[in-house]
Amino acid sequence: MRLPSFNYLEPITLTDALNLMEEYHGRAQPLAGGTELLPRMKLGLTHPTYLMSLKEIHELKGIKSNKNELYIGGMTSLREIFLSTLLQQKFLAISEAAGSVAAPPLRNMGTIAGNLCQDTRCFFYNQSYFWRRGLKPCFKAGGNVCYAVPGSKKCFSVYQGDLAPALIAFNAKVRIEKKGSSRIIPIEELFSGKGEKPIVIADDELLTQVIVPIPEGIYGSSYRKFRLRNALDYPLVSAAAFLAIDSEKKVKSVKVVLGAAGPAPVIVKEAEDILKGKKVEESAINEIAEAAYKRAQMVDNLGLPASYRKKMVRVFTKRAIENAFNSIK
Amino acid sequence: MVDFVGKDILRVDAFDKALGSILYGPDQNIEGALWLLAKRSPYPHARILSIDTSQAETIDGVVRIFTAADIPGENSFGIIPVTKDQTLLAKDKVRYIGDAVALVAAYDLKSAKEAVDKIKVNYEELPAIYDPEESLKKGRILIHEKGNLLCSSRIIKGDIEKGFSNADIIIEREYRTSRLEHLSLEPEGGIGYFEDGRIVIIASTQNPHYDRDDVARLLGLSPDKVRVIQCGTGGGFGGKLDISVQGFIGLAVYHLKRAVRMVYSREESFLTTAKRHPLIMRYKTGAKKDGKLTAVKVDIIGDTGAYASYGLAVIMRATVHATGPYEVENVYVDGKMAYTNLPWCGAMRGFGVPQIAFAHESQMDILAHELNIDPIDIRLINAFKKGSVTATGQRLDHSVGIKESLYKIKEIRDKYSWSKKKGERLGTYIGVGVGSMWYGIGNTGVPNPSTAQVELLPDGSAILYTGAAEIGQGSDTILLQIASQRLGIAIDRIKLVRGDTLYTTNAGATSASRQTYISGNAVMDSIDHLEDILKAEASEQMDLPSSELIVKDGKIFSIKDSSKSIDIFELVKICNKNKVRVIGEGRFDPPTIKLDPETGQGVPYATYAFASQVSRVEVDTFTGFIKVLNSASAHDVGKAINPKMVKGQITSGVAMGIGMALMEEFVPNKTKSLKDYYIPTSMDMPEIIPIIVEDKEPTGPFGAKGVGEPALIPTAPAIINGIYDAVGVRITHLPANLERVIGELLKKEGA
Amino acid sequence: MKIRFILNGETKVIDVEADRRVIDVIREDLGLTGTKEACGRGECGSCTILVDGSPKLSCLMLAAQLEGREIITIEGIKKDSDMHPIQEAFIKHGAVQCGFCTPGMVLVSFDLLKRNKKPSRDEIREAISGNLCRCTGYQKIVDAIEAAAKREL
Repeated sequence: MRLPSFNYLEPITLTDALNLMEEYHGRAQPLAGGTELLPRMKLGLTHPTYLMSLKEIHELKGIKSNKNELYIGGMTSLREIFLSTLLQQKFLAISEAAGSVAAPPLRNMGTIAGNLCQDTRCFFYNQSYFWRRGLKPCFKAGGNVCYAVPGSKKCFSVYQGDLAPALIAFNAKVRIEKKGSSRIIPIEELFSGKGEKPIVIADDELLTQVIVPIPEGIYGSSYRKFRLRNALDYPLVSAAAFLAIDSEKKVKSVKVVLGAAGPAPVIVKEAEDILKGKKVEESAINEIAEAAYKRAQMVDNLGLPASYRKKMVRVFTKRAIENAFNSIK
Repeated sequence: MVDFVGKDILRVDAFDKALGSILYGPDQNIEGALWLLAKRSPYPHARILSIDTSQAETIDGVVRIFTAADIPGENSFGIIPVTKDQTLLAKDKVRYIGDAVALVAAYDLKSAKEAVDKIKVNYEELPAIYDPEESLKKGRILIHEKGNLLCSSRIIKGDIEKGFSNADIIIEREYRTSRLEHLSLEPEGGIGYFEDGRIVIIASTQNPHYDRDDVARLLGLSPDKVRVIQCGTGGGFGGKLDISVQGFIGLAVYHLKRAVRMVYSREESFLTTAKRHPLIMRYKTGAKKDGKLTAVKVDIIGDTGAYASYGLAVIMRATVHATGPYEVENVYVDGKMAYTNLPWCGAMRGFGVPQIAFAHESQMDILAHELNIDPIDIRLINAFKKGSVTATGQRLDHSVGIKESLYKIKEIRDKYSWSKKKGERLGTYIGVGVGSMWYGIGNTGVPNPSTAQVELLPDGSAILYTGAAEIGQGSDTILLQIASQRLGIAIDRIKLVRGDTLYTTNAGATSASRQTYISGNAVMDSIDHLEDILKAEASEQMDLPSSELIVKDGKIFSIKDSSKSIDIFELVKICNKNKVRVIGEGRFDPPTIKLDPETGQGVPYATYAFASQVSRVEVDTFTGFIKVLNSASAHDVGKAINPKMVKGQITSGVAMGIGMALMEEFVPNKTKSLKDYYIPTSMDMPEIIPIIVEDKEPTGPFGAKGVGEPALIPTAPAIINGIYDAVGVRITHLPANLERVIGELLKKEGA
Repeated sequence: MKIRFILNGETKVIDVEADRRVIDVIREDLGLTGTKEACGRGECGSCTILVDGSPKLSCLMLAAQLEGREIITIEGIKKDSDMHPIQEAFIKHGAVQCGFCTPGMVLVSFDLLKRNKKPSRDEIREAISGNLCRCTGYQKIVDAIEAAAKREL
C-alpha cells in the first residue's frame, strides 16, 4: 500500500538541514528512523508536504564523552545505544530502555531523537481512515471532542517513549538547533504535557543531540517496562530510577520517572523528599510508589484498562527503585 | 528397500521457501493486471438504500465498479451447503462492519482507493445485536430472514438426572472464550485471468475445489468454467477455508476478461475474514468420590457473527467432544449458534474443540482438587480405552492412546519433579497444570471423501495427483512419503501435481486434521487400483491369472513360481506403447454414521486423535503476568509418517495455545492491527518437549491419524490449570490476560 | 528521482517516485518477491532486508533511502550457487513450515551470527523476537540457528 504523496529532501549536513527547515518553515517533516512516522503516514494521521530524511547527516550520529558529559547524536540508533559498553556500565537505565524498544530490526532503524520526539498515542486516534471517517475529529486531530473520555476538555493520549524516562532520571538535556542558533534544555522541558501536541519543538527546529551529565560517586539506575509480551510492545507502564548513595549507603540523590502514565513522562518529585539522606528501605520505596500512583494519569485508551495500568505504576516504581539500588556496585 | 514412512524426510517445499522463490498469493503478478479493492460497510447493521458509483467511475485509472447487481449467479456463498448465507457484495443489507458493498477494478491501488472513497452508499441504520443470548430472545430484530438462530445440536446419552443423583460431588461452572484471529502471516491474495474459455484463479487457499464450486455458483457457471490453482499458502489455520479474494477476482474476470489481482491489507484481513467462535459453556459435572464421572450436562451458546460459515460444524463438534476423552454414562449436551452483527466466525484450528476442551479440562481439574486426586490420575480413572463408548454411542475399538499420553506426561512431570512451589522472585508462584483432549479426524458425521491419482511413467518415475492444499502443515511431503512407501519408489522419483482443479480431483478441505488420514488413504487406494491395472496387464503378458500375481519390490511375481516376474515399468512401457496411461484412481471416505438430529447418536468420525499436556507456569501475583516455563505434550497420532514434522506441529500448537490462553482476543471495532492483537513472540515461548505416542489406527495409512489441530487443543487448559495450581485462582474466561488474573487474585484476597 | 544502489551484488540504477516504499520497489518494480509483507507497519518482521549488512524493515523505508546502499534480500543471501548455511539449517532442522516468515528469519539470523558466533538459545530468541511466526512455535527455528552457528548441517 502506498504512502500519501510528499516531496523528499535529503540534506547531508546539519547546516543544510537547518536551512531547509527554515526555508520550508512548518512544512518539512524531519524523518529519522521512520518507524513511528511512516506508520502514522500510512494511517493518514499526518500528511507532510516535505519529508526531510536526516539519515545521511553523519555528524548527527555516534556516542562521545568527556570527563563530565556523554553526548549522543540525535540520529544514533537505539541498537548502538543498547550495545554501547559505556552506557551499559555507567548509564544502565538508558541502555535498558534502548534495549527494551520493540525488537532488533526496529532498534536498528529507530534513533534516539525519533524515540524522544514520538507522538502520543490513543486507541481512538491511532486508527485508519476507515474507522475515523464519519467521526468528528478529536482534540488530537484538531477537533474538540475526546472519545476516550467523553465530555472531557482535553486530550488524554499517552506518551509511550521508552528513552525519555530513563534519560530524565539521569538529568539529561537535549540540544535543539535552528538556523543560526542553538539551545539546550532539560529533557522534561521537551514535553508540553498536552496530548494534543506533546512535543515542544518549533517547526524550524531539530533535536540534534542528547547530553547526559556523568554522575559522580556511587550510583545505580534501572528502567523497568511492563507489557503483555516480552518483545515488540510499547510500555503499558514503565518506570526509570536513578539512585546515588554516599559511603554510609545513605541516599544522596534520587530521581524516579514514569512512562506511559500520561501525555508526558511523569517525574515523581516526592522521591527526593522521601529518600534523601536516608537509607533505602522498603517503607520509603512504598511511599514513593504511592506518590507515583497518585501522579499517574490514566484513562481507558490503551491495551488494558486504566484501573489495571494504574495499579501497575506502584509495582513498577518499586521494581525500578529496587533494581537501581541492586545495580550499585 | 528404504523406508520413507516414519522417517524425518526433509520437507519437499522447504527448499523453495528457504530460498524465497515460492510464490504466495500476494506475490502473484501478471504485467498489466488490474488491482481490485472492496468498498466496505462502516455500519454493523444497515439497509442499503442506494449505491452511487458515478463519481467514483470518473476517477482516472478506474476501469469498472461492481455491485451486487453485477453478480450473474447466486449471490450467496458458504462452505456448508445448507447454510450459504453470505453475500459477495451486499444486496439489501449489511450485517457487520466490513461487509463488502462494491468492488473497484483500477489500474493502480491509489486510484482504486480514491474510487472506494468516492462511492456513495446511502444506508438506513438498523439496531445491531452484539450478544448471542440477546440475539436469541424473542422480538429481537432479525439479522437473517430465517431468524437469528443459525443451528443447534444435541447429544443425549443415558439418564442425566440419574447420573447426577448417583454423584457424590457436582461441579457447576460457566466458561467463556473470545473471538480469535488466525493471523496467518500471509494475507489473503491472488490473481485471476481468462484463458481457454475459463476463469483461472490463482490464490492462497485451503480448499481449491470448494473455491471453484462456489465461485462458479456466484457467477452462474458450471464448475468446469472455473479453474482454481492453489499457490503457495502462508498459513491457514482455518482462515483460508472460506473464499475471500477468490469471489471478487472471479467476478472481475467474468466481466472484464482480463487479468486482475487482489491482496488484502492486514487491516482488511482482520476485519473481514473468519474468526474463532466465542462460546459460552455452562457445565454441570457429576462424579463419585473415587473420581469416576457419572454425568455431564452442558449448555453451549456460540456467537457466529454475521454469517454462518462453519458455524454448524463448530457447534456439532463442540457438542460431540463435550465430555472430553472420558467415559461418561449419562450425558446431555445442548448447543446453539446465534447470529450477531459482529465479524463472522468460521473454522479455526480445532472447530470448537479448543474452546470446549478448556471447559471440560477445567471441570476435571476442579474435581481433582475437590476430591484430592492427582490431576493425571483422575484423567486415567476416566479415560477412554479400547471398547469404551462415547457420548454419541460410538464404540472405540482401536487406536485409543489417551492413557498412554497421560503416562508419558506423568513420566516427564515426575522425572523433572515439576510441582507447585514459590518462584525465585518475591510474589511469584509456580504451578503445574494438565490438559487432555480427543479430536475426531475429518468432518462430523457427513461424507467427506478425498480422491487422488497415481500414475507411473515409463522412465521409472511416478506422478501423484492430489487436490489436498499444502498450507504449511506438510501434506505435500506426507502424501509423497505415503506414496513412496506404498509404491516402493524413492520420494524424489515422484512428481507432485497438487491443488489445481484442472488436473487434480477433489481432496476436500485441508481442515479437520484430515489430510494425512483421508487423503493419505486415497493415495493408498489409488495405488491399490494401480496394482490391479498392472496385474491385469501382467496377466496378459505372463499368461497367468491375476489372482496368482503379487506386486513386490517393483516387480510382479507369480505366487506359485517366484522365478516368473516382470518389472512394473516394463509393463508401463508396454501400456504406454498401446496408448494407455497407467494411472490408479483412489478414493477414501471415512466410515461414519450421521448423527441422529434428536439424540446425537451415531458415528461422527472414523477415528480420533488423543493427547495430554503438562505445563509449568509462573504467576507474578503483583502483575498477573504468566510465564510458561515448560511444556510437555504427548500426542497419539496413530503413526508418525514424519516424526520431525509431527513435532513441528506440536510446538506450533503449543504456541497458538499459549496465545489463546494468555493474550489473544479479537475485540470487534477495537482490534485492527498487530498492535492490538497479540500473538506470542519467540520471547514468550518455553522450550517444549514434544512426545509422539503411536497407537496405530488400523484404517489409517500405515496406521496414521492426524495432529494439526490436536496440537493446539490441550495447551490452554494445561496453562489455566497450572495457574490454579500456582495461586489458587481459576480463570473461566479466556484469555487469562494480566488484568483478568489480577482481578481474580484480588477477589481471592478479598474473600 | 533516479537512485543507484547495489541489490544482491548487482548495481541497480532505477527511476522511482520518492513516496514509494522500499518493499514495493523490491517486490513490484524489481520483481523480487522473496521479501514478504505481512503487516506493512513494522509489527511483524516479515519484510526484513539487510541494508549495508544490518537488518531493517523494508516496509518502513523510502525508496530514496536506497541511494548508495548495499541491499541483500533473501534471494541474494546464498553463496555463489549454493544455499547459505543458514538456509540449509532451516531446511534440515524443520524450521520451515508455511515459509512466509522464513526470509525475514533467515536474514535476522544472518545478522546475529555475524555478530555472535556462538549465541545461546536465549540470545537467538532475542534476535528473532521482532519476527513473528505463527506456524513453528519458534523452537525449530531456534534449533536451526543454533545448528547453523555450530555448522551442524
